Amino acid sequence: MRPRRVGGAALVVAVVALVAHVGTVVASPRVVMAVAEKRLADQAGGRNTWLHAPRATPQNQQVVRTSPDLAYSACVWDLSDGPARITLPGWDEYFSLSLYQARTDNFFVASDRTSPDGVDILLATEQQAAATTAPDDVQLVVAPSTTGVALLRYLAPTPAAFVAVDRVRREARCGGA
Amino acid sequence: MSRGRVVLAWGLVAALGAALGVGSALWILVGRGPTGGTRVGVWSIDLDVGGDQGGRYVRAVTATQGLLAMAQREAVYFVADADGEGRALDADCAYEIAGADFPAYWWSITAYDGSYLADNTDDRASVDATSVVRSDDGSWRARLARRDDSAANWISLDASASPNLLLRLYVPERSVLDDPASVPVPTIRRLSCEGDT
Repeated sequence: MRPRRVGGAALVVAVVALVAHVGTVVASPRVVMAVAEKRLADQAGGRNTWLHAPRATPQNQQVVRTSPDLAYSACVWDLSDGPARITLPGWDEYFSLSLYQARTDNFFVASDRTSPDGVDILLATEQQAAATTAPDDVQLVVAPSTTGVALLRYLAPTPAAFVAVDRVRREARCGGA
Repeated sequence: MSRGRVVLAWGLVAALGAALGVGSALWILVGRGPTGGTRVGVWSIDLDVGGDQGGRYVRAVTATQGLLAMAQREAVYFVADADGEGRALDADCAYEIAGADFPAYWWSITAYDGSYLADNTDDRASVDATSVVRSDDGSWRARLARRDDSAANWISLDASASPNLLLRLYVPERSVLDDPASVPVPTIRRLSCEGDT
C-alpha cells in the first residue's frame, strides 16, 4: 500500500470508531431501558400495572444490584392514551416512589420524608400537562418521555416486615387518570 | 487492484473501525474502563449516578451497572471491591468490616457477585441500620465470610466469584453531597484465607 492510502485507511478507522463509540454510549441507556420496560410489563400483565416483586433472593432477582432489604414494586407507565395517576400508601419506615424516563434518568422522587401519608400524583407529558388540571391534593408531575418506569421501595429487612409491607403496597395505583 | 477488491478492502477498514468503537464503548459499559467519581479509602462513589446531571458516560454505565438507581438527593452508593490494603475481595478469605452509623436516614451494606446477589441460599447478603447489632458506643463489626454463624453480624461471601460491597445511604445528610470524602466509610480488614497456615 502506498503511504497515502495507509493514511486514508487510518483516518477511516478513526472516524468510524469514533462514531460507533459515541453511538453505542448514547444509545445504550435507551436500549437497556426498553428491554427492562418490556420485561417488567410482560411480567406485570401489561403497562400501567404494578408488578409487586417477591422478597429479593439470588434466585429471583430481576434488576442489577437489587437490595434484599427493600420491597420493590415496578410499573411501566405509558402516557400514549393520556396522563397516569400514580398513588401509593404510607408506611412507618422508609418508602419512596421514583420515576425514571426512557433514557434511564431518575427525574422524580417522593418519599416518607416529603409525603409521610403516601403519594398521589398525576403524571403527564408536557403537552398533556398544559391541558390538564390536577385535582386538589394531587401533584401534577411532567414526564420528559411518553413511557418510563415507576419504582416503589418500601423498607422491609425481615420476612415479617416484608409480609406487612406486601399487604400495604397492594393499595398502590398506576395509570388511568 | 480490481474494483471488487478495493471495495472489500475499504469494507474491512470500516469494520475494523466499527469494532474498535463498539468494543471500546462496551469496555467502559461493563465497568472495566476508567470511571469518574471520588475515592474514599477503598470505597468509590459517583454522585451523578441515577440523576439527570450525569454525562453520557455516567448514564450509560448506570444503565448497565445500576439501572433504576436513585438520584443523589434520595440515595448515594459507595462501592468497594478490595480490602484496606487494596487486595481484591476473595470468597476464600474472611474479613472484618467495621464502622458506625452513617450521616443518612437509613443505610445498608450488601455483598454482590459482580452486579447480582451471589447464588447462595443463606439469606445473609446484607446488614442494615435497623438490624445490625451494635456495641454500646454505637459502633458495629460485621464478619464478611463464606460462613460465620457465630458472628453478631455476618455478611455471606458464599458462591461469590467476583465479590464487592455496596454501601447505600438513603436520604443522605447535606454533608455527604457536599463532601463525600467526609463520610466515615467502613474499614475492611482481611483476617485469614483458606490455605493460610
